[in-house]
Amino acid sequence: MTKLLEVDEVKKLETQIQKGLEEYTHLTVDIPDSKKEYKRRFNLINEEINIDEVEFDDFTEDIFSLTVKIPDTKKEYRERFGI
Amino acid sequence: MNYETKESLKSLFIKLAHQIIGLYSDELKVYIYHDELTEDIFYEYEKIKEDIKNNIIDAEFLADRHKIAAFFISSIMKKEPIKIKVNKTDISDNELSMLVNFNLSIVFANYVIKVFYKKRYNKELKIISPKSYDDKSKKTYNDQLFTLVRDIINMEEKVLLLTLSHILFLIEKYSECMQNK
Repeated sequence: MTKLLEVDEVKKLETQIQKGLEEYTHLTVDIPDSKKEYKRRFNLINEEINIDEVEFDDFTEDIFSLTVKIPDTKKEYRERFGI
Repeated sequence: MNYETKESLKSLFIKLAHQIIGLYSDELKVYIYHDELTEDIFYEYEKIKEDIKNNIIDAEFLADRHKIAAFFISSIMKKEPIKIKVNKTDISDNELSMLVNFNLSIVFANYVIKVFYKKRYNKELKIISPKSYDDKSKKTYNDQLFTLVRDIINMEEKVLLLTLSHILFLIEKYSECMQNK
């Protein structure tokens, strides 16, 4: 037997669907206009970037934020890295 | 990559290697990194790049900054330029050596991306690495990245490194979004 939904339930569903559609639109990939564009975007024809000089500042802060903490024991090592 | 860029990256790499060693010198016995190993790393990078280029059957293949970074991660992990000996822990030299060299590779890879990003867009990018971790498994964001890199470099198929370059792209875009928030 078909169950009739209350009005507020229908409205809630509509909102959910609308929200879902918005997310879907946001997540879809634009269709490329040409094969050349497709290849450029998805198949590795990228510009190689040549730079004349490399500048870098003090990177101590970055080193701390990007490095992995050394585990104290083999057990910890195994747990964290799934050996 | 032109000569000047390569030489600049080499000096950056040597500086980073010494900083990473300094970071762990209290905790581990670290064998000092030999600057000459830098040549091996850059040679290995070229080798990986050529190998992938030949495997994807695309004559127009050129590397962008994420691929350059991914290839360097692989070459550093393969050559393991920092040699260590365990001092305090019961973990093997090999396992810890892999971790320390991973740290060097990921910091260097992020700098490659930052430097090329700045040149391309004329603005700074700070690569974000969230500190949070999963309470239950104690895994951090960087732990996950380490596991991924270890798995990828242990596979025979070098083309899989392109997967890593896509992930580096996503990390860059995530950092960009957070920066512009």
